[in-house]
Amino acid sequence: MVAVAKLYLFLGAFILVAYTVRHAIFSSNRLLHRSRHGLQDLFDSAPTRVTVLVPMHNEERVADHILEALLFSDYPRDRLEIIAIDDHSTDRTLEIIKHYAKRDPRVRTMHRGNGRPGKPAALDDAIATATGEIVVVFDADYIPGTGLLRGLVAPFTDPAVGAVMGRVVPLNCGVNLLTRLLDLERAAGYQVDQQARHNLRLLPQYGGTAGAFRRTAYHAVGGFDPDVLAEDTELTFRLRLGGWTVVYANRCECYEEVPQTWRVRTQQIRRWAIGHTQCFRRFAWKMITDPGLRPIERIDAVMLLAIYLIAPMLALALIASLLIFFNGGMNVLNVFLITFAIMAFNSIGNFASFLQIGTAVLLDGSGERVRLLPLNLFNFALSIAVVTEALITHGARRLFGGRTGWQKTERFRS
Amino acid sequence: MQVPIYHRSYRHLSTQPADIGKGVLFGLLPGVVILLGASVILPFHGRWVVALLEWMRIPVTPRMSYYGRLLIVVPDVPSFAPAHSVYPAVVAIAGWIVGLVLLMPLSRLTPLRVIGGVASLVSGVSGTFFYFAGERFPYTALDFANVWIRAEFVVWLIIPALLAIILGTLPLDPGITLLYSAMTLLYAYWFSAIRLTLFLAFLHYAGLIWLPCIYFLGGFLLDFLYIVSYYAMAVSRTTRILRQRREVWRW
Repeated sequence: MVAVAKLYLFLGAFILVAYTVRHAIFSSNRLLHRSRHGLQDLFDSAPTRVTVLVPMHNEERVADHILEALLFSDYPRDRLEIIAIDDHSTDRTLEIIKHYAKRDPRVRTMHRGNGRPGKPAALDDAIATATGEIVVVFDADYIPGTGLLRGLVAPFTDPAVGAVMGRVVPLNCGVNLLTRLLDLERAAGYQVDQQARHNLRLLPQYGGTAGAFRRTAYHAVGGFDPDVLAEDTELTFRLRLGGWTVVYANRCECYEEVPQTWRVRTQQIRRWAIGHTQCFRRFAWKMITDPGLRPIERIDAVMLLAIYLIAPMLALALIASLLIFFNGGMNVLNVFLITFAIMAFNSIGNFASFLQIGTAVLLDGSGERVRLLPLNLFNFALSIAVVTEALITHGARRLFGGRTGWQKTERFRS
Repeated sequence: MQVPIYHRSYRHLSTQPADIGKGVLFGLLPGVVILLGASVILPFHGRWVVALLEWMRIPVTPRMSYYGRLLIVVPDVPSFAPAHSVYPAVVAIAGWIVGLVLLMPLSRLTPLRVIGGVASLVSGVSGTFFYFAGERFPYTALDFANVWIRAEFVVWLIIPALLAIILGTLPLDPGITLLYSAMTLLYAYWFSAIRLTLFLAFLHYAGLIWLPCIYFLGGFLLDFLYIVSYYAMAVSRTTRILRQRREVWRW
């Protein structure tokens, strides 16, 4: 038993070292090398027709902000369609959407009172009626800038591009410690992780909001699966396996509202962890065996898909460590625990390694906020517990034939 | 003519390979000092812990061990926990209950609840072990001190290597890299002695039953926390330095 525990810790340490090396490579790439940018300076006088989808479920607090912001877009009026989807709302969301639809012909109302609720199903329904070749999706709490749509659409000039992802910037980062920590996490995730993956011709992730995809590519890979909680990750991998490329556009920044309470944050992590792991099950092997991908791309894709599995792995490592400890192996444990302490803190969370956060802060030129970096330990501790619990619960539900449903993220704007 | 767009996506940190090399070398220097001066530095660490414990009026017998380096022994660390006695039973029951109460409302998890919950559960496990098999607990305070000092020595060697690599790539003067590496190491040395003193004092008063909790929660995770803190300070300082320099853009 103790030998098995030691072997487990050895393998765990090896995996964590691999993730740390990955994050170090990404950070050094961003610090020392030139970045690739996907045709963002291209100005098309007759751009492609675009459909913007805004799925909303009880979004009365934020609905008018995003619709107002979209109407200020500099995208040619005759080539822009905005479909605001009211998905089973019980508040004033539909009323707000109708108000904007009456005010501007570019806005179309789609009311979903029947059928399966949830973002993937809502998007599937809306895309069936969309007229644009490029589909841009925003969550309701996002506030896109005037030129964002042009920036997101420009890379599609390359016919191989299936999806484009913009950078997400928290709007409410100064509210409390949590929002400040999430601001650091987002900076690392986009400024370093996504951009480095784009630079290294790996697979940047289409994040489901503040991003766009080609409608023909979407249909070619079979659309969204409403059973998957991370429809964005799923689409990313289906597109890549279908031969399309995914582009990250760092200059296309869009504001979002990050969770302001730990309760909402745990809901968010739970959904991401389950969705991501569903995608791991579906795509890990396909990515490894796809002959069209470079070996390094396959390895990185699997590491990206498996990121949330690190949490239960660490929780199990604690149990294995206790077993070894009470069997007199404190000497042996030292080696593993040093490795675990250093590597684990660098691997867990939503792409928030401390090295990447430091790099992102340097590139953004805003140094003061990085002093909160040690407090990211709180995020780390919570992530381990929540992700572990979420994956165990989801696994148990699957075992007994149940299903994990979609949960809406609570908004805080007044 | 196309007008370049000044956006933070195009900001570039122009660190040259020679600068990186210099930064890494300077960052490694404190590690070399530690390695070469181990025979002086380790006994001094031990003497410091002994002095602190004596100041706290805890009886201490210094002993030479492990390759002639000084280690400390707290001779009187009672187990306080003979098998089937009340003390381990209370620790076990309280640990399990508090742990479950903190962790079980899964919808209300917060970082402090998680950290507190894990600490309580580890105490609960320890209490249970001591209740049923306290006499088979495989360590003494001396074992703990031995393991601690050896592990900390490894940490002291890791710190300069880690900081040399991660700070070496930043556009910092090599002297500043050296400064941060040395400062982190000094803090590690000081903090290690303080922690070991406090932990041994705690074991002296409360018994070995708390050793697992101390080992798992007061050990390397705390070491890594101050390393990250110093890294954060170095990055913060770098951004201030960069503001005084001419911006480099790469389109």
